Amino acid sequence: MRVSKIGIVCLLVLTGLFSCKKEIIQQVVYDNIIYQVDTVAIYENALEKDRLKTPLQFISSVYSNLYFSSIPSNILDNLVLYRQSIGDKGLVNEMIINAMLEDPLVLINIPDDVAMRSDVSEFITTTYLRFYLRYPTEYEAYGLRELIESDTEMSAVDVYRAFLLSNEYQFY
Amino acid sequence: MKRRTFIKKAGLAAAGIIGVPYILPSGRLFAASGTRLANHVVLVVFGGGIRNQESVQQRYLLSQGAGPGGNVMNNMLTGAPPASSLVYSPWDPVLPTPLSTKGTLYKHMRYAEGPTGHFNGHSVVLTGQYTETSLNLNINPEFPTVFEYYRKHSEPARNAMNAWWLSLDLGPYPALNYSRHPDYGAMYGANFMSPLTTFGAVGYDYFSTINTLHPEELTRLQTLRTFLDQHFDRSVTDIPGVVNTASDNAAIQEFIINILNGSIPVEYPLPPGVGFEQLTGDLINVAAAWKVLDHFTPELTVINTTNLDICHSDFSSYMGLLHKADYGIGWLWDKIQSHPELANDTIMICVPEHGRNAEPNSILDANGLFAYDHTSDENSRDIFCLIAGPAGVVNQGITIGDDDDPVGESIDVVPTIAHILGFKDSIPPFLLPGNVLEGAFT
Repeated sequence: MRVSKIGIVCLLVLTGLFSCKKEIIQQVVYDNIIYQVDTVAIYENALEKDRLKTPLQFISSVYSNLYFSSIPSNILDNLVLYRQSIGDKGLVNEMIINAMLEDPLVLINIPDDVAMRSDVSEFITTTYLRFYLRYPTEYEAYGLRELIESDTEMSAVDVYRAFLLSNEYQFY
Repeated sequence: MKRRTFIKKAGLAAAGIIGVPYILPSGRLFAASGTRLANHVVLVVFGGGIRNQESVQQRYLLSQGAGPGGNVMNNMLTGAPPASSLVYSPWDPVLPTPLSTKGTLYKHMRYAEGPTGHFNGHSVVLTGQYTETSLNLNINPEFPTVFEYYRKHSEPARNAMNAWWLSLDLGPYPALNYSRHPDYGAMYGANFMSPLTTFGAVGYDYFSTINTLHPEELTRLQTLRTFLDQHFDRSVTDIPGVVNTASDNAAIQEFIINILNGSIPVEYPLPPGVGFEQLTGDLINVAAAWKVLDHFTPELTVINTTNLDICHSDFSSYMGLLHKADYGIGWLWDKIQSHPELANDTIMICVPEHGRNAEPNSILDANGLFAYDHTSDENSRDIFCLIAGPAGVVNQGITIGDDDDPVGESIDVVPTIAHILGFKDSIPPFLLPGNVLEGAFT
């Protein structure tokens, strides 16, 4: 009787160690992708962007670009609904972006005029990375520098607004 | 001179200068253009599903065998109100004489083909084409909308500021401001708003305290955007939605924000002494439509009312909401006649999207009255149409069609609007199977 109990225990241990195991494959499905949280270049150039962001993707990415955090679901729901209520999507995008750009929580993350103009090249590079996820071409860097330096009233908020409302920002 | 007036006049002047030297191959200086009957059209898709029995036939509770007949639409129609058994709170009419005396009533028109669904009905009225059962609710309609015909075929072509579509509900209705037709589309679409949302709690929470951009900020934005966009190979036409000019965009934003922050006061269609708790979604949509008309004086405005859909389950509320919607229409007409540019130059067309069944369903309301659905029976295809406008342009106080001889169809509304605004002859005939409701015009 004693032998048979030890035998049963050994049998169970061996069965556990060497029996067939079901292979478990973990598949991660992203249903709410937050774009551009990290300022890492993922595009070589603008030509790689050929897909239009959905309203949900667009608002999520604007929020995360400006607040450096993912958008709370209630805010996302409200803004997606509001966006449906106006036919000119450029117009309503502008309202959403302007509202965020007036938020003190966003403004503290935007360089002031002195910081922007102390190193315009650096500002341009980080702005392209932040919003377009790519580096500017030589011509883009030169052209934007000219625009910033020729208009002493132009602020970083003006530049950010233009990037967020540009055609390229609508695509990924 | 107001800024907007200046921009408008400058635009017209520029269009004139560009247009003058152009001589057509026919030798004529200008392309043929139809004569306009009026410069403004307001179309009310008076909907939710309205039975002719309770509207133009003024049968009130007779169909239920539960009370007298009577007219519950005392702003639109001539007729004595119900003498007893009231299931709604009557409001004194806002108009001294009913709207039917200012126009022509097509008492029995036909919604001849296709399902009597709400989106189907709206699509038919706005495209002039009947729909099939398989209508996709999630995409823009197949055939051009009246907005696209108007903007493309008017001379000179009109911008989006002149065409507005205000829907009480969201859902599929925003898609009716332009079609997916390859020759038309978003570039000829209308401005869309859903006032309950645009001016509702979400709008107030997020946008009532924001500032509109200063002119120099707008200029800077344009300069920067032009620079950024020229380095990207996709244009604004790759992005869905109607697009306003930069100045119109700024004006609309300012309008929305000023309504939200109270700078532009909003009047509501309520009789004196009646509280805001009596407001309905239909009346809020009418109030917003008036703000758009008063502020922008568009040439083509379409609004809807949909609260009457409650008739699926509550006949008494249906009667009350029909009475209130009628008040809203009268109130809007009264406001239009008080506006220096719109008065005597506006034609209003009121047409239900479709009717409702002859036989009730089994649902009883608190007053023991049966409700009605709309499942494409013959009665649900029976509708009316009221066309009101200036004397000398619109025939006043006449009725066309009766039970045995219906005149007109839902698909006639688009050609009729095109006729009024003078672009009917420029539309390719194969696109519009309907006819102008010519009996309404002198």
